[in-house]
Amino acid sequence: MLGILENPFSPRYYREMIEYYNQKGMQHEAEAFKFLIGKKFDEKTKDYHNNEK
Amino acid sequence: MKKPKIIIITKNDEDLLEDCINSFKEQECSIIIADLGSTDSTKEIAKHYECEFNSIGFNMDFSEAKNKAILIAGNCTMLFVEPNERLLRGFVEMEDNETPKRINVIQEQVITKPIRLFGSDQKCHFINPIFEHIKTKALCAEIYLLSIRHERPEALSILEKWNRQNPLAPQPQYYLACLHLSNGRIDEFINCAEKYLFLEKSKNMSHIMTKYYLATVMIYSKKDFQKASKLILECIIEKPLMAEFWCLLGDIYYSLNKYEKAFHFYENAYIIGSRRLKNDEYPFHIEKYKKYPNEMMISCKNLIKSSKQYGISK
Repeated sequence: MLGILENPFSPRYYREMIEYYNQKGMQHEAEAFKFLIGKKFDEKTKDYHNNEK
Repeated sequence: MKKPKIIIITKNDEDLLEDCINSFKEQECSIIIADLGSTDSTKEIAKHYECEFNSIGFNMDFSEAKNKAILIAGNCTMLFVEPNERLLRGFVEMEDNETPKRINVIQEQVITKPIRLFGSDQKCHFINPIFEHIKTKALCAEIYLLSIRHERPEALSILEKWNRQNPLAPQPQYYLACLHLSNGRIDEFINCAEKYLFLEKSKNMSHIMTKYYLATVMIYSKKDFQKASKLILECIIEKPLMAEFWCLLGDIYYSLNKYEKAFHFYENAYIIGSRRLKNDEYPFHIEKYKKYPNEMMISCKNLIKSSKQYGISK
């Protein structure tokens, strides 16, 4: 029923976005998406870390 | 560094002017009141606070009034302030030869960054009959103004006239949409916003923000989640570092009771917000960079927990 809403941002989408921002030279945006892919909450530090290998 | 002259354009703004002038008291700037024909006590207030008062007449064109005020101010650095604004914090100063600068204007948790500060050798010239429009990249000065909601009574008629004269120009449609939205005229806003998005070909910030506000209206007034999601996804592609957009995507899923997905997007908003660079050109909604997504993440967690506890399917 919702079409695009069912799976708007799969990991593949995120990776494509990183490539898109890298091509456009938008480094800050690309880095943000890299972080969002690998986001992981650390209970010790109570903050998010990038777990992307 | 020099103190710029403060230029305030007034028309029957006695209720607002005193607080505006008072907020600049400690800055020791000279203030020019360019008056458009007030019939109230604006002149007396200006005199009381030792401001330079100039009656400049009004031909239903604010650009003409602003350009006249620039001539009155002469060859100096200047800062344009609206009567409904107050200096919140920051030092009002500028070098003579500096390029124009943006300042921060806060209204109801929303920040806009118009270009208002001009060096003396910068020839600024306004062209729009209402609402300034200066297309240039500019740094932002550490000046914060608080804006009180106030609509000039002439605004709608000036915009409608501008629109009639330039039916294919996107700008009047954009400002009409802004005006309708700020006054809660939702159907008129949707009409003007859609026309604006059709007419505006460049994907500038106005274009993106119109989509964002249209998406917001589609969710909360029209319950059209399909259209809202399409609009907000387009916004995210253009400006992924704006936490407001991720929050709105979260809001869509939250409204549809899909709390795990909503959590994912509020989490993105929170992360984006906490890693924002200090000199990023935006945000607009300050709360949506930490407080709001954090509250919504907690709410989602609780709802997911309750759903599992009572065996309600997601």
